[in-house]
Amino acid sequence: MSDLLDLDATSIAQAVRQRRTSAAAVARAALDRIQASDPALNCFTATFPERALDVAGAIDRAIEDGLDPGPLAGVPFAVKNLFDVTGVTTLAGSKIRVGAPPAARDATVVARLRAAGAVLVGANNMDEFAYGFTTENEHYGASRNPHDPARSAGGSSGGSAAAVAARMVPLSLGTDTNGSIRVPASLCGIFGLKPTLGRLSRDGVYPFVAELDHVGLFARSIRDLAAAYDAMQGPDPADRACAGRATEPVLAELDRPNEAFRAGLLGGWFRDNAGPEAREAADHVASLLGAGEPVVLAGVAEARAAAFCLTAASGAAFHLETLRARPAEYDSATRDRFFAGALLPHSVIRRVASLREWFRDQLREAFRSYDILIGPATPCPAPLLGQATLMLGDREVPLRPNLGVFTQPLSFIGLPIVTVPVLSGRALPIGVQIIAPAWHEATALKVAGRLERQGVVGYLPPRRQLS
Amino acid sequence: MTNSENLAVDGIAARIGIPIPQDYLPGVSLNFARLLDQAALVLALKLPAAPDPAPEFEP
Repeated sequence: MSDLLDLDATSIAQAVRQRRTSAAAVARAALDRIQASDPALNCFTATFPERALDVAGAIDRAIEDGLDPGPLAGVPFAVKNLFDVTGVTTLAGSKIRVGAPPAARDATVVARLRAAGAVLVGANNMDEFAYGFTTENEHYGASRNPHDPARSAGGSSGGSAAAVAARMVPLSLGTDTNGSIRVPASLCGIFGLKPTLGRLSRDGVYPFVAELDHVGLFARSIRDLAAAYDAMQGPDPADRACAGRATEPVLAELDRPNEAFRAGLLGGWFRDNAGPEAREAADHVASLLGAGEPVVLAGVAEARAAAFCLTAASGAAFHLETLRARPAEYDSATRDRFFAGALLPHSVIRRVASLREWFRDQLREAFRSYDILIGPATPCPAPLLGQATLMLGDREVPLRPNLGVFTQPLSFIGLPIVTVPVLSGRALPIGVQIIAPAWHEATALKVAGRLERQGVVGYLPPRRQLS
Repeated sequence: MTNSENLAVDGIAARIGIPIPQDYLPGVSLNFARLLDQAALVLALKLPAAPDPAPEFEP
């Protein structure tokens, strides 16, 4: 029955709803696969077998009674361990929070997925407090890449991405402050969606940088991303940062006849810093979408620098009291950066805010000519765990701060982005960002869906057998 | 990082009430230097004259 987990979430839900299998059987298969595969990959910090089987049983009984179990009926999913789950302590990748009280209720997006029939099976490993691009966590170990366990799964939502890539679950939740969905999606060869800043509720999500935190998700097909995204959308009175926009369902739009999209390929920063695999992947997608001359934006390096500064300063401000009282309990990489961020002058942060509005306006202007922009998601495929440097163009730079050079400038201004795994025949996957104007997630998902149907992008299972 | 750079970071931190344990000083100083490199880029960009940024950011 574990073959069920080779299906995407949509196919699993169809099978459960049509009683070709049961939600309980799917949940058991997911838990079995996690038990078998996770020791090699370290994607999970907790599993919830009793609860998952209880919920799955209730879904099966609802179906027997002729009730609607929801569009994601019986779909197992996992969440980065910074999402509140009722009765579970929200770790956010830290040791400091081990003694914190358990969450009194689910995060809004977790509750909405459950209301749609999805079954939560576990919580995923991450960089401490989401501050990293590699999920090399001193407390809980590194999450490993299913395509090569000697390599990074990316971060900070690395456990969530690797769990989907290894087919332990078809769906998982992550967050993206500077690239923490798009980097692991690229390195693990799966689809990732970072919606517009403010689109999805952050209620019950442990904060990192209030100005930049986005909730998003991973899946192995575009229709799964759309289905789960639709289930999580909508205003939330519990989160002041969540936009009051009505739900704008995307799933039904995916099957509409192809519309014409004007695509532009990002040049300049996005080309000069890309390794050969990244450049080739972006070029391939761009040429199939009819992109012409590269689009060179002004101020990308500065926007990336601004996001870098804002992250350190805002994260430090949030952690300052704990940092003073219990510095030894932080992951050393997190601690050193938070201390540094606490020393940054406010004059820089004030300028960051002005730069952010200016850079947003640059993109708004670009989107007068294009419906979507294309750029690499990471400068290279998955690096080795422990690798210290990478090449950006002809410069050798520290790896951990620089895996997000292409993601950081764009989340800085909150744009919706779908990361797609480009089918290249290479051993290691790499992803491309499909970037849309604010609130136009549907455009990015429709373009990604078209590329998926054309066989240009898609999930390929890891070649190594892990269980 | 040089010893004097470590001492500078130590001094600034102590003055604003964020004492940094000595063992952490080299790592903090290295990260502060990286941060200042990025801050320099931010401050160097000439932005058109505009009113102060709005308190709430609209993407």
